[in-house]
Amino acid sequence: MTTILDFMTEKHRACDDAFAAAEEAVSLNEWQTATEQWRLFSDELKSHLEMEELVLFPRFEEATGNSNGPTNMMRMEHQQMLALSHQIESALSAEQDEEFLGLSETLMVLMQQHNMKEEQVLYPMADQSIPQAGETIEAMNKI
Amino acid sequence: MKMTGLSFDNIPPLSVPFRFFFTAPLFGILAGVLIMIVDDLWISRWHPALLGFTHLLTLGVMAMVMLGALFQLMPVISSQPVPGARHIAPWVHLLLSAGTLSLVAGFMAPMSTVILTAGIILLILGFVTFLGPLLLGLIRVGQGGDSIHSIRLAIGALIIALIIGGSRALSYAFPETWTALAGFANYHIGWGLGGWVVLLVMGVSFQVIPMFHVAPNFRRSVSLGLTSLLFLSLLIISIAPAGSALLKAAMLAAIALIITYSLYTLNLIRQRKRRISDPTIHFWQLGLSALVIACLVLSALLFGKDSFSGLEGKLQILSGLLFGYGFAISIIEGMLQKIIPFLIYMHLQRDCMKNPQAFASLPNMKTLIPTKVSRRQFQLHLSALVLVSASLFLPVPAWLSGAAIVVDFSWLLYALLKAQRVYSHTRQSINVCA
Repeated sequence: MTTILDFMTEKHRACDDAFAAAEEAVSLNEWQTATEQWRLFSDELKSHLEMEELVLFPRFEEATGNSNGPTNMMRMEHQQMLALSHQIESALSAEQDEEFLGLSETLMVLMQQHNMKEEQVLYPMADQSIPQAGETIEAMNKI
Repeated sequence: MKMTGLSFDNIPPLSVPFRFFFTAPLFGILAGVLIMIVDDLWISRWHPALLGFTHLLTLGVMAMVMLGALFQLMPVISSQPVPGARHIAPWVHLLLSAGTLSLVAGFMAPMSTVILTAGIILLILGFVTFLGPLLLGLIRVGQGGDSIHSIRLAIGALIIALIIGGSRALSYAFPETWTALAGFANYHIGWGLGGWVVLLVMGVSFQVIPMFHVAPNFRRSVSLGLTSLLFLSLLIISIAPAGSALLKAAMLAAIALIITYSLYTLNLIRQRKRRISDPTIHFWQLGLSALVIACLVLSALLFGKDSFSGLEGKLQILSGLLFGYGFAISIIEGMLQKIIPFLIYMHLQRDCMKNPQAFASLPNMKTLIPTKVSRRQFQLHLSALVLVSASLFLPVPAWLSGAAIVVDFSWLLYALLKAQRVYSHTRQSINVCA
């Protein structure tokens, strides 16, 4: 049976793939490809954040009775990632490669240390505490 | 995994890791100066100045950065901080710095019993101050992931290396009373480098290689298997009778495991999807290649003893050099190129909560340490490594290879100070506007 950890980790990797492709295109000055790949990434990112904020986190909070702990911190980091992602979009439409790559490096590290906390701690705990993991995954898949 | 005290909002203040990171290059510079001013440093691995050089790098640079990084890493990979990090970090830093200086001076100064003993005591106090709370944190984590597993084994190896090293140093300080401990050096090196350093780098690489470079994950059997078997081989090496077949087999196994890890990781790096130019990747590739060569030199020494016509001593030093300066310090320099700008960025971002308009003016990571600066760091480090290795066998003047190390670490210090300046300026402007 798929666990929340496996399911969400796979989503993280899907985001990473599109991200890496967009970044490489910018470094080669292929702006058309970069824009397409960035859109893929940004759609993946937004749907992933919604899965967490609309389905996973509320269920986690309910199951653990803890609504102002780790999930709050994760929500705040989501806001920070979205803000950086908007800055990157401006650099993309202005075709500023150096600005783009500096910001994308920052988002990459910010995103990965965020993922690290989720994959190492939050998702395994969600698997332990949420009673209907399979149904939770289904609900997230509908987003 | 335990729920108690779970919170991701417990990242230590910037000063906790930074005091360690900024001190490390100073010890590196000192190590380079030592090569410049001492004649015939490479004549034997027991040369007092070479012992000094080695410990400036292992304690002053490597342990300094690794301890600082563990304060930072624990809350991220386990959600459990090192308890009391803010209060103990200044003490650990002070004791480690003073202890290292004193130990090195003790090795080199005549009539050095008092200085050497002081060094041992300061270092023991420093490590105990650090390890006590860290162990408490590691217990609170509960089961934890693969990285926590390696970190636990690494800490076990560090404790063994420290006990053996401490007793070995006592035999220097009191040669008449502690002669029995003189044969411990190889165990100290084995647990210190082969155990603590390799296991810690392994644990970090399981996280950072797949994540930061979008490379395939380490297979679980590989990450768990390699670390556990390496630790087990070191245990067998420590208890097997001298000259026994068991001892040889365990040494061969340890070397084979380290080579397997290096080649496996190099292969994952080759398959990475994030292909933009990144100096940190070059540092990983250099470090892991140096580790493979160090292991090959070591196994040639262990299993082909009589065929080197007097070069054994030099080859022993070469394997140590490739291991410490070629492997460990390459990885450290490479990781600092990312850790420093990221931590600064993260802390500035928090300051922006008071003043959200300032968010757009935050410096991105590459403004803090530009790729150009990192690339130059790699070139300087590689040149120094080649020069110092060559100086073992060719008539390279000592001042030149020493100067190359001084330049390598000075550049690191320059990059850190530059990033720190941008941080202070930005922080001021955020606070002024808030």
